[in-house]
Amino acid sequence: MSQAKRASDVEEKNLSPKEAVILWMKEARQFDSLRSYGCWLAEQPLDAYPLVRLPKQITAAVRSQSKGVQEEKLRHSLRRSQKDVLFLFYVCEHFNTRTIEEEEIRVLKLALLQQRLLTLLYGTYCQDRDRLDELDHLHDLSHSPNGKRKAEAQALETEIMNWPRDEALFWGEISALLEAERLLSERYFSGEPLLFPDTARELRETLTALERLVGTYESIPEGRPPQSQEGFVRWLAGEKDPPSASSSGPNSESDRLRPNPQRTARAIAEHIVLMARAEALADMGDRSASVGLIRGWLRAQDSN
Amino acid sequence: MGGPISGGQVSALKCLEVGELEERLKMLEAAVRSQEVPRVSDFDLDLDADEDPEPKELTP
Repeated sequence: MSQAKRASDVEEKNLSPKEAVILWMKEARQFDSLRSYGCWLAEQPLDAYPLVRLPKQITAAVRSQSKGVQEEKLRHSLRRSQKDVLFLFYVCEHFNTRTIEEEEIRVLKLALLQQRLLTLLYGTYCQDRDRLDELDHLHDLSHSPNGKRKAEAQALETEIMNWPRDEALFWGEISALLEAERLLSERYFSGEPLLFPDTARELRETLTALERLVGTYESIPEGRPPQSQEGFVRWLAGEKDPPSASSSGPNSESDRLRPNPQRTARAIAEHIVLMARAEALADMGDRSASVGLIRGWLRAQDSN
Repeated sequence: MGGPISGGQVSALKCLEVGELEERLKMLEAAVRSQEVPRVSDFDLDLDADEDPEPKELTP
């Protein structure tokens, strides 16, 4: 059998719903982004659209494998396969859309964390410089800072405490998305990645950027004079202060605060599955079952 | 531009076509990893991998 015949034979007559969707995903992901795939698709004939092509492929496969099967049984097989292929397509589509829709928010969150860290660095520098300046003018080591300076120092300390917590939450959001992709991919797509390469790249790059920011954050306590006046005096004299809890080791703070993404990942994956089921049912003409699924989910959310 | 296609060019095009076809076959074969008929429809498959895969349908 020629290669061309083999290829068309497999593609047109033998694909299960899962295989057909995996093949479509492999082709679509070659475009790197959902956007470029969409642009290409817009120029193609109607038959290239996945919601036209996939059900067609599946119908042909079921018919070719069900020769001599009773009409009623065939109808059942056709309906089941159509429902499966639509469901799998929507799992992939919904997960990509959701991840892409949140991209702008992720960009802004990362920029905000960067900016807050810069402000922190500048704030600590100013505070340490002011303490030294004050010593130059007063030559009085027992002098305590005024109310305004004290409040500023307190605000800075609060921000130093808050930054890693917010970073950890953001890290958790991204890690949960990646974990949700893994759950869906392993359960429904034999390990085939769901995300378009550029979206997966964006998530990984954001995690790398966060690692870099955490590295910078962890370096803040290094070389800073101690908060207490006595410690400050010892620091000026070149004596070493005992290590504080916040400088107990690299990554200790962020590691401690970072949440386990499993639970959120599961909730995301379950929601994607529910929406994909509802959409598949609606496409099959079963609107009441579709609405029923969503209502059931809403009721469960309310009772939680 | 516009001249007759040489034998070499035809061979090159042929190779390109064969290469693309091989690529497509590889992709198809990667997609078709298992041909066994699943007991549970993908639609009814829950996220839990360790559940008992009873052949039941959520909807008629």
